[in-house]
Parts: sequence; C-alpha cells; structure tokens
Amino acid sequence: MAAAMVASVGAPAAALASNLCQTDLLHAFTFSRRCVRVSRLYGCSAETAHAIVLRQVAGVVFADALLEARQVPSSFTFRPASAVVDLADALARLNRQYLLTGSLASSIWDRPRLVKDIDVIVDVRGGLDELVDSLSESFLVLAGPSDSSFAHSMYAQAVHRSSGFRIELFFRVSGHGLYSRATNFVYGDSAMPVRLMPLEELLVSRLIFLGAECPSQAAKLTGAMQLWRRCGSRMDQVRVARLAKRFGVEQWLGRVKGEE
Amino acid sequence: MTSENAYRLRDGVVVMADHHGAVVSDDSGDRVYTGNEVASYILSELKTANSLRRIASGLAAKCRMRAEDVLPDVEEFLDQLHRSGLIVAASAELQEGGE
Repeated sequence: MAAAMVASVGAPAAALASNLCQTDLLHAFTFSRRCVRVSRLYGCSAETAHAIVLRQVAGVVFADALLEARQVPSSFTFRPASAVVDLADALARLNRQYLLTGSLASSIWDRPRLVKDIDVIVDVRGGLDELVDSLSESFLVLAGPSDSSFAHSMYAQAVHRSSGFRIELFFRVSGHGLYSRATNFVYGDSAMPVRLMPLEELLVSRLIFLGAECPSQAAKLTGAMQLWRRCGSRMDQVRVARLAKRFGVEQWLGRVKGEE
Repeated sequence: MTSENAYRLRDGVVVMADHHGAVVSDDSGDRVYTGNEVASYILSELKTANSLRRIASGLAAKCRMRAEDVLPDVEEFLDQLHRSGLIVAASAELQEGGE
C-alpha cells in the first residue's frame, strides 16, 4: 500500500519517503493518526489523506524554499519556490488573475520573512471546476468543486505535489481594479513572472487583520509599522488612505503611522 | 512571553530541519508546523534554551538586518509554538523539575 502510494507522488518524493521510513520519521509523526484526521477534516478517502500527509511531512525537507527577492548572504539564500512558479503557470494558462500576498509578498517587497505557507488571492470568475482541474496537475486541492462548502467558503488549501508546500487560496471577485494593479515579479532563474499584491493593498490587508483582533496581534502591529517605516515612501499615500477608509481601518493606519 | 526569557523545545518534540525548511511536531502528531529557512533557523536555536532576543539577533546577523526588524517574526513564531505547547520557558521547566 505504502509503496504504491509513494510511486504515485513521483520519484523525488518516493526517494525521500523511503528515507523517511528508514529514519522512523513517519512513526514520529504518528502518520496514521494524522491520515485519519485529514480524512475526516476534508472528507477525502484514506488513500488521498495518506498522500496529503506524506507530502506535508516530506515536502518541506526538499522544498525549494522561497525567494530570491534581494541579495542575502549565500549561507542564507532564499530561492524561488517551485510551488509558486507552478501555481503561476497553472493560473496563467487559464488566463486567471491572481495576487500573491501574505508573508511571501512581504518578503519580496520588504525583507526576508518567516513563511509558513503561501497566500494567494485568485479571481473566481470563470468558475471553480476549470481552476481546480488546472491546479490538480501540480497540486492536491484539499476540497472538490462539487463540495458546496468549497464555493461558499471562497477558500481552499492546496498542497504542492513535488514540494509539499501548502498554499492558501482565497477566491475573490474584485470590482475595484485589485488584480489590474498587481506587480510582476520575476524570480531569479524563472521565466515565469508572478503577480504580487501592491504595497498599498499589502499594508491595508495587514490593518484589516489587526482590526479583526487576530492572534499575535502585537507582533502583527509591529510588522505593519515596520512595513510602513521601510516601504511607506514607495507607497501611494492617497491610495493607502482611500483603502483604509473603505475597509474601516483608518484608526489602525493612524497607529501604524504613529499619528495616535 | 518576554524577549529576555529563555525558551526551549519541550521534550518529545520532533524537529526535522535543513537549510530549505523545517517541520516541527509534538510527539502525538496533533500539532505540526512547517516553514521556510527562517523557521528552520529559529527551531535550531531552540534546541537549547535561548531567549527571543538572542534568536532575533542571530537571525538578523544572518540576514544582515537589525534585530528589531526580525523580532516580530521570531516573536510570532515563538508565541505560536508556546501556545501549542511545543516550547517551554526554561525557567518554568527548572521549577517543574525542582518540585
């Protein structure tokens, strides 16, 4: 069973999984217990859950890490994430608009960041079936388009098949030109540019999180203040103010700018 | 959680890390986090008792940045690990051991 599953996730994963078994890593992570949890959580088969957990555990070890957004010491090199490149490729083939956001976008705009997953906003126009079909070549999408909750929640997760990195997909229809303002960013050795959320929207999205009283709010407030301090001069101030007003986070903007 | 208190990985916590990224889990597998090389560095520093500020200083040196610039990320990750019970305050551990 395990051998058949390993074969289905490709040679690199198979080699790694074999190594993981030898080092008892699967035992350490109580693999079967996690499979049951994933199966219940996403309503998928035991076989699919097995593949998901295998990739989640195994992928990070040989993941391509993240980005080459700036010059950093060779001992701490950020490299392009194959997951992001595959995602950009799949979405470009569908001519589907998207924005990379979250800590990955902050890393590119600002400085190296702690990145635990990759957040992407995707234009839902054109339907979900086609999107999921296209993504399924490189990703395991953790909900099916036939699942009504998938469409209603406007949110899904995908696990990159070859790297195991987790991607959080937020489906949004934008009537405010959000996608058209995206900035192209070319990873070091990749021919495929990726679309980045603009700095102004990135800052305001952080303020919205602050307004929602998320966990570790103090750290996020500090992070937003630093983003403003280092990148504020590159932002369109009028647009920042307009976005903050639209989303009701003017008070948070004032705090970040040190006006309160 | 203060910047001066030392924290370390709780006994039984499993960490797999290299220079690409890391996985950290409790012994039951109920709590699992993954991350990039920044997470990998932080976790490596938690193998022995280490303070938030010292970890941030080391990370900042690697990234050629100021410690206060990387502090929020380190703080957020440590807070998450602490709330999940994957790390413990070294002083608290000493007290537990002494009782």
